[in-house]
Amino acid sequence: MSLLVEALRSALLPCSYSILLMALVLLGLRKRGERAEVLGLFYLGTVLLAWLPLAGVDLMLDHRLGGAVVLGAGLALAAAPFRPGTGGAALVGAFAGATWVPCVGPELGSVLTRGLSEPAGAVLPMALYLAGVMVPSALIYLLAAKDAGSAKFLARPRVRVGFKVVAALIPVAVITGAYDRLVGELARLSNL
Amino acid sequence: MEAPRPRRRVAVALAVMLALLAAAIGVSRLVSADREVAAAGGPPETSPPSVAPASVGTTTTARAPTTVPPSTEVSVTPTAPAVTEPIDPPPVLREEHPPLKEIDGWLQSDVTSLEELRGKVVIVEFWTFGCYNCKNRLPYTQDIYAAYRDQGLEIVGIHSPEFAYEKEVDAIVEAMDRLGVTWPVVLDTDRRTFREWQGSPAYWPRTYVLDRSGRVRFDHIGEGAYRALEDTVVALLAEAP
Repeated sequence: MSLLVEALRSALLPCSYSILLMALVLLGLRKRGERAEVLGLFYLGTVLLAWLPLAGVDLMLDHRLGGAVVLGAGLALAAAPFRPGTGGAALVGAFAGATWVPCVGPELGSVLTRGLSEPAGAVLPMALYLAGVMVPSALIYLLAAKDAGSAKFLARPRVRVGFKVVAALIPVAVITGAYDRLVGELARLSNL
Repeated sequence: MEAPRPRRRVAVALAVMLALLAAAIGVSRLVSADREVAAAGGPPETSPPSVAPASVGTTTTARAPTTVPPSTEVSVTPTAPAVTEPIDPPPVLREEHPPLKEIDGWLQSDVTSLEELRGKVVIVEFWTFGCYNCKNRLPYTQDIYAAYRDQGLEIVGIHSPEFAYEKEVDAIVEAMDRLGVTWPVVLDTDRRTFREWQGSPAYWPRTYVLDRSGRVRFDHIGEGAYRALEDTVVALLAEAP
């Protein structure tokens, strides 16, 4: 349980903002009935790509070009009007997992250190940790699902267009380095 | 009567996440139970430490370095140089530590390479001053430095900036003073040494211990494993040069 507690604490720190941002954009891109699926696929993609490097697989998604391509494809799919477009959430999750720089507290530190020699043993602890990190995203999802006012707001055409504009800008920000600077600035402000 | 599809999807998604959480909690308990052992190079926690951990059971105040503000003073156990019980030698994780690659210089140091520190036990700590977890490690690092420096321990902090604002040398110097970093610091502005040592994935903080011959004998990611770190340092200091 201490791993989950540590994850919940880190969910409020800047190191988790990038994951929260991506989850929010995805939730805004899809319709109400698809958001649970989107969040689940995003989560699975994040866990997989956060873990794969420990197993010696480096997909280079933390490089600007590769990251922007995968993220752009994922967001484009997620914004598509057709139903299978929800699968784009897994790609966005993959980007989020690959570029995630975790706050490595004692519990996660032990998991990662052990994962260097036993990668398979790190999968479930990392899944648990990321579930904790995604609690704010899940709460926002629940708010949007249960609160009629929030649901109505998200359903407004202008708001939906706004999410699509943000989704289009993020890959551009990744490739120009602005995304890194934004995350850096959030970290700086949080350390003041 | 069949439930509406969206509701069913939500239920299935929640059930899967709950099942995953339940399984992961079980695993995390196993991980937590022996997390100190998981720190590579650390002797098992069941073996009695030869000295009391520096951050536990404090009785006196450490000699504070002149640049450390009073608020950052930490209490440590008095130095205990004599190792009275045999300690399992920490395993050799690498025969030779990776090089410092394309660094931008050293701060508050009389040496300019790790090779000049042969004969000493060296803690190499990758950090950056804006990193929350790196700052959490600092009191323990200060403790261990105060307790074992006179016995042949040296610490080298490798400052590998995560964000642009952490690259400014003036900001690094100011942070070192504010945080009480009194050991030599290597400037790894472009994170080439960071990548050279850690490969992928790479994390902040990450702590290695080199023995007197420059072999890597301890490796830990993140906070924690303080007891294992100290036990390793004690064991390596006891090894013949």
